Amino acid sequence: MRHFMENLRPKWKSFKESMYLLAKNKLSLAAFIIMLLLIFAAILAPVIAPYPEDVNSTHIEDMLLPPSGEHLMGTDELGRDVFSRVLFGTRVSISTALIAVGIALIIGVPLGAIAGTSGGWIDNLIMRITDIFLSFPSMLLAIALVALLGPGLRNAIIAIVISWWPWYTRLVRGQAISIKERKFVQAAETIGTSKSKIIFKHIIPNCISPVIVQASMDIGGVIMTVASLSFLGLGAQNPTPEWGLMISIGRQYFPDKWWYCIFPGLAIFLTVLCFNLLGDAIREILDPKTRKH
Amino acid sequence: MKKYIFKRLLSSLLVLLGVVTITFFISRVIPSNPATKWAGTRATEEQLAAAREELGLDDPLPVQYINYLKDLLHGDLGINYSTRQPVSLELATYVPATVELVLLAFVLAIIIGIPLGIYSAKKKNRLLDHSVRFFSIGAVSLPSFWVALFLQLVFYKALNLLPIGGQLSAMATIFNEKPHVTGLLLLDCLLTGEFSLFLDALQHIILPCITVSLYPIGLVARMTRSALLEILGEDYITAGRSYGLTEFKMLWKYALKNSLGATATDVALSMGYTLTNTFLVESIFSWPGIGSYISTAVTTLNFPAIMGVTIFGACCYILLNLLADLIIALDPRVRL
Amino acid sequence: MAYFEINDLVVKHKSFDGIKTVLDIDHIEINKGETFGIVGESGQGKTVLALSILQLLQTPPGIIEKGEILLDGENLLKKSTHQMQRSIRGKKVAMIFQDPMSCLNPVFTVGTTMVDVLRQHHKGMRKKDAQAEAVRLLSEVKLADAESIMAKYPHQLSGGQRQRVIIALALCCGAEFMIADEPTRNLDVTIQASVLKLLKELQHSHKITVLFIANNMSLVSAFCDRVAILHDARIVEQGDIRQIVQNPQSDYTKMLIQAVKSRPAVPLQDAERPVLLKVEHLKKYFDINDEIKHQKHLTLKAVDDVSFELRRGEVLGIVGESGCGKSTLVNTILNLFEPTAGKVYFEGVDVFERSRKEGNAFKKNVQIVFQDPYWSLNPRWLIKDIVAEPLDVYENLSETARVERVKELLEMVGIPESACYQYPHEFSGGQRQRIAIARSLASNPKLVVLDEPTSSIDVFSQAQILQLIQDLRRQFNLTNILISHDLGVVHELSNQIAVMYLGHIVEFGPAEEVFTHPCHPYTQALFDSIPSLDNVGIDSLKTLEGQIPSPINPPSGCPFHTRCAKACEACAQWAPAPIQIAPGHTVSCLLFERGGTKEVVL
Repeated sequence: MRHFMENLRPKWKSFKESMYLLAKNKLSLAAFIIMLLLIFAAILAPVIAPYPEDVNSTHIEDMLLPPSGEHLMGTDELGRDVFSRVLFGTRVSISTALIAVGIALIIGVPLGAIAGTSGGWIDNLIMRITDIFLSFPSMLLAIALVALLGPGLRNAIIAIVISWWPWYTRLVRGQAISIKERKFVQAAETIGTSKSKIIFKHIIPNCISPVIVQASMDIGGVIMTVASLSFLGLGAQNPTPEWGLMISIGRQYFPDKWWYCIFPGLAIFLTVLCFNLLGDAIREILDPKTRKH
Repeated sequence: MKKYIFKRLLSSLLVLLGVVTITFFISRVIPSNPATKWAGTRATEEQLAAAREELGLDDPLPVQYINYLKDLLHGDLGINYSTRQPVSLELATYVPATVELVLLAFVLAIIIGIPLGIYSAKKKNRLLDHSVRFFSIGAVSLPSFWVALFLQLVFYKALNLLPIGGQLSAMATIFNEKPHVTGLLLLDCLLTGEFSLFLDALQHIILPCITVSLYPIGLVARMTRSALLEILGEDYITAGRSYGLTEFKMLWKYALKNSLGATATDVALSMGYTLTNTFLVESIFSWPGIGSYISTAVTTLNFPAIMGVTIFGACCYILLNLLADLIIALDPRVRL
Repeated sequence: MAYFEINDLVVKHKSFDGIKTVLDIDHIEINKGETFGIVGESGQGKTVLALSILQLLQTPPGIIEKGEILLDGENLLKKSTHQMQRSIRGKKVAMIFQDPMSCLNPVFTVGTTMVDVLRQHHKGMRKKDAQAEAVRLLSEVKLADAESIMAKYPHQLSGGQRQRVIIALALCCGAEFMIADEPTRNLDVTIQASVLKLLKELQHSHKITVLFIANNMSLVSAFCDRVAILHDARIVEQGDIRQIVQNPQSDYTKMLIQAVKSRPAVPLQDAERPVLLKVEHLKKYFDINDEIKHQKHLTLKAVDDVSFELRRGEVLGIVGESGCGKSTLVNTILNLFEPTAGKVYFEGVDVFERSRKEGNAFKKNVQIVFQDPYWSLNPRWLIKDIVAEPLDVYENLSETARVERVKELLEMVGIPESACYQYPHEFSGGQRQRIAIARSLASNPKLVVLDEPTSSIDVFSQAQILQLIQDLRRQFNLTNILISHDLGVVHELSNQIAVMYLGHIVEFGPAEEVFTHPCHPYTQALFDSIPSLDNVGIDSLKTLEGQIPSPINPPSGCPFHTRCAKACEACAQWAPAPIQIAPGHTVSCLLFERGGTKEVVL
């Protein structure tokens, strides 16, 4: 326990330092706060939403009301409160994106590290496979896969993971190749440290910075892709409160009942923007030129 | 240099083969029963057997694969389940409209994005730079299908300035015959001297083009900026200044040429993304391109059509990457 | 009034940690035609000074707070960027940079760059004339085959050629004041000597005043008339070079001078020691493809037939220029590379034929300390985990025992035990090198390889690290292999010397004997091309002409005959075998094989 605490302290210290750097850039700070708010909204959606039951229930009598004090973003074709559904949408989008990016990272990062460190035929094999997956435009591959597996959020995640992991493999491989040349890796080899420990303890922790940047931006990208798939009717299905799906349905009432489309779209924009800004901010924090050591 | 091009071509072909193999497995192995799709859900046993026969599903898998490759070599992408037309023919009628849209969007991305990136890098950390950075991140964060709807709301519904969709207005198609030279409508109108038709087509392409080009403009501006900033910090730029070379020359001759490679790759990569973005936008603007085609195919789960578009998209992607790599190869460091 | 003057110049740097003064110079003056040296270690503001003179300093983060830089009475700091570009940069003041590779634009040929610069300053000069002028300048800096150099890209040139191109570029516009910022930093010593001689010749023929920036005293003593010592942003001492070398006033100058003086190691007393490491006919070839010339399956002979013995407690210093194969040799002995041929015995056991488990036992006994402590410690690990890495492999300790052992090791190298829970970036270069040494001792090794152990740390720490290495060696009866380009360090630590050239050991022997009586012509040339404080002035440097041949296509016969002043026809045909000329002292040279003796050669 004592050792655990002592191990934790220096990590906390460097975390504080990162936070300090983040807070220096106003735009990054804003993005970070918005992200916290979004996560907050996602977790507390049932509490803060004015009509939490509107995820499923219908009130035909309140159909397609324009925004008002009672319904901040108006109501939809079944009389449900758009604001409440947009709030619940945060849950769906962020959790979907986190899961998809998470799985893609778990597959892509070790493969990239192995390819970069091993070289030779292993590298060749892994990289040719990623090349093939990379040459499908990711949205198109996702569309094809979802069309095959059948529409639904789970299949959308599978499709996204399949088209997304090779990016991490490629990114990590490039990093691993340069890290491999660092002397501490050679030192580990002379010491006799095992190959797997070298990959997982030396190589991966040192090539993770650009991966974090990329992953942060990709969360935005995945949210966008899920919304696009849902918009095409391939992702979330009714009555899931998903932004893309809402726009897709709202389109039928567009442009007369504009609020039904505009507000979920605004939510997508803000969320994606926030993760992109955050990715930019993290890039600057991790950039050794910014952080002088 | 020749050797490099040859090697690069060969690897592109290999990747293409891999892509085709994957689409084969996806389309033949995973879906439960293509024959039912072909014959229809209420088909009799005999009809099903006939369908299996016709689709060659009774052959062993390797034979099917070889046949599939053979067909592809002849440009045969299979038969559309619902229209019973060859997918390749259908694609040929839908592709030009998409190509027109994407090309125009990319001309915009290059003539707007690159100068934005350059000025942003030149005025680093000034107001202009901050606005460009915010604009470019904003542009890549906008959901295109939503932008399309938004633009329709503003320019059609509210201002009534521009048409809501289509490639030409109904009146124009009644009174004029659609010219056909290259397949690219705007170009054809100019070539045949149909100026009224050209103006009509131009009005129709404005909104879809803005929607589609937002992403590549943002991306190109951002990447040009970061590539330039990196190069402007290099020692040889300082050295060039110490020899008394002008700032203008440093930026436009020394720095820009070096950043060309990075920019070319980014343009190529974002073009792939833009292509798929186009698909969403097209259906909203009723643009007669492959986006509209695949939207219909998706709703009817029409696999040959979906796979045809997928292979087409992958081919474009591979080609673009090849081009980008060849541009990078102009850099003497790569020629090693 | 002096030709060039700096008065009361203060430059600051704004960063994450706040504003720091990087340069605070009261007064420097340089007379016309003089060579003025500025010496200081990296990070002391030398380059900032050079960039400030030409207004090339990036502002921000740099801030020129006050002061004046006068050239011929004109204050350069008062000029606009445009005026600087029009009339000063290149025209009156030229600059030679330290890293010629990064200073040439990689996407343009040498010719394009030179023509651009020439035409910038001579308005209306035709392209053809500019090209002719460029060729003339390239010949003037003694580049053979100037025409073909024009068409080459920077990466196709060798380091020495690139630096000559940079010098030619500086000459382009007839500048009379030249700033040379460590112009030979990344060059080999033999190339360094010839570049320095070239600069000196050009200085005389073009009547140029030179501001010469360097990081060590011996270089300045060879090149400059007067010198200023820069430390912590201030000039701590300035004056005539002879006076400063003989009678330094400030402590820092004394330390700088001490750092380049050689202090011979104490010879070993007892001769009877068991052989620890025996290398027999070791070869390491790399297969490479040369895609420019479309040649496949070329062989790069990095280590070609090397044999030697190392006894317990000895220190073997391996010297040679970059690319001579010294690092490859060590990496092959350490089993990091697969050997092409040959055997290595450690305590009598064949290292390459061991089973996996015994192989680990070998690794446990042999450790390495790398040159750059910034990269040899994993930046994401805590110090305790770094030092304990060998323990984790060879001993299965509880966390408490592990930390205890780490603290012991840290104490041994003089690092406080509180360091355990810190990251490498919190330590200075010298401290990191101590941590790296602690790690190398964790597995109780018998042989420790030191790869340039002091070359990237400041002189304050250098002396201490050398002392620490010697103490630890005595304490643990360690055997060392030391790779270094710094002959002072080699002299101080080693009792055996191996001189390598193109993958061969050309001379091997007891340190004292090799240093006092170098026998192989290459060893002699190598020692002569190193500037030393004992002889001031450029004439003390002997140059070794010609490029180092490529190890891909090594010369036939004796590898050194292409550059050897004493070569004869036979040298091109017969490869010399090692000849013993004194007990334990061997030389590979035909001069000795023909029955010659030392006297004949000297």
